[in-house]
Amino acid sequence: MNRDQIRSKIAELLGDITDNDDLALTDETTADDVDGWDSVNHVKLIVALESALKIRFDSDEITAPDNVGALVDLIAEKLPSA
Amino acid sequence: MCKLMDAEQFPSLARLTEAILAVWPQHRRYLQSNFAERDTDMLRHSERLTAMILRLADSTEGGLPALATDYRFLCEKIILPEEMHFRRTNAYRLTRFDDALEQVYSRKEFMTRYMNGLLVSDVIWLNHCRCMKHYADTFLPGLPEGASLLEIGPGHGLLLCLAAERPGIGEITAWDVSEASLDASRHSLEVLEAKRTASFRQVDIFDRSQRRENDLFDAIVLSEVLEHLEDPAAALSALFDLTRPGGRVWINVPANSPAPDHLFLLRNADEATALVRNAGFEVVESVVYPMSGVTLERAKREALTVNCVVVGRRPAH
Repeated sequence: MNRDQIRSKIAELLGDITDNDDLALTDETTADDVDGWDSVNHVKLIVALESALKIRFDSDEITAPDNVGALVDLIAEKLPSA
Repeated sequence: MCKLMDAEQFPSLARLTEAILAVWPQHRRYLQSNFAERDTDMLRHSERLTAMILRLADSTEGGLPALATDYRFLCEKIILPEEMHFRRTNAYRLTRFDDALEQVYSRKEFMTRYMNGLLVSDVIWLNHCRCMKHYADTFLPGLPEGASLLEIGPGHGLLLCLAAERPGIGEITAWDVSEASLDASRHSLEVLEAKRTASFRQVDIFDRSQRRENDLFDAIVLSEVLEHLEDPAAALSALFDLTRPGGRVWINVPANSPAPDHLFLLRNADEATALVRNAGFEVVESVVYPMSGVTLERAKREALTVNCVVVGRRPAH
């Protein structure tokens, strides 16, 4: 997956969790910018990403990303190289 | 950056929230929405609790900054990993007391930070704060004049202190299996200069041989204890025996609340009510307080943390 595909997957899963069908994310988007992206839904997003992408986050990594771009980078590191 | 709380109206809350933001600026949005949920009555109650917590902080190593740091540690390093485990597996990590003893209770430094963080959570986490309010404003005033009160597992001692401050409550007793925990509760009453003290005794409620003939109480308090036990039904059965006929129990137990030493997974408030009823009590009142920022409907739908407060009465005959 490239960065755009990872970002789209995050948008798809976060949109499902927050009931927002048209969620558009950029690398600069933060949790503050998205209605319903609270701490509970953040944990649900992380677990959904783990399940969808067959990756695993350490708990230290969960709170680290400041924005979507940092989360994309973190996921990219975990995915096997194409 | 604007102040979170009005320091003139709520000086203790202003000090506490500023201390938290000093070590955890990213927590501002949570704190803002959390306190926006509280009406004036709840804010006054929060201020009262916070004043107590600040006095305890003064007697804690590292003072208020250490407490604020440990609150962040609790949220990020203790609860979050357990929450992840819970969301992945739909179960708590541990189920056996011996494992909790080995992995949690025996780690002294970890326990100090855990307890410090929980002390702060009593005012910051809305579900905790509301339970304390129910205890102070509803349960205690509803007890008959001179009612004797036993608290089992008094921990930081805030509930004991609220009872000691309440006119009309009779003799106050505190039990715990751990002498160190009793020392901590005793210390809290001293630091908070409670109007009177309690009678402290090391007791394991599961060991009938440790009970005395006159161990009968008009009111028994069990707050955030059942989830730490392998057999909560047996604990409530022991409580029934210790309650004077016509007396009341105040049970506070969280559901869907992962923590490293939580063993008993309660799924909803109905299960809490059933536990109390099955022990022989009549259920007088049952209230549910969802975690901060979450409606009760959402908590039910998504299996999020709620605190269940159940008031039971032992039938008079």
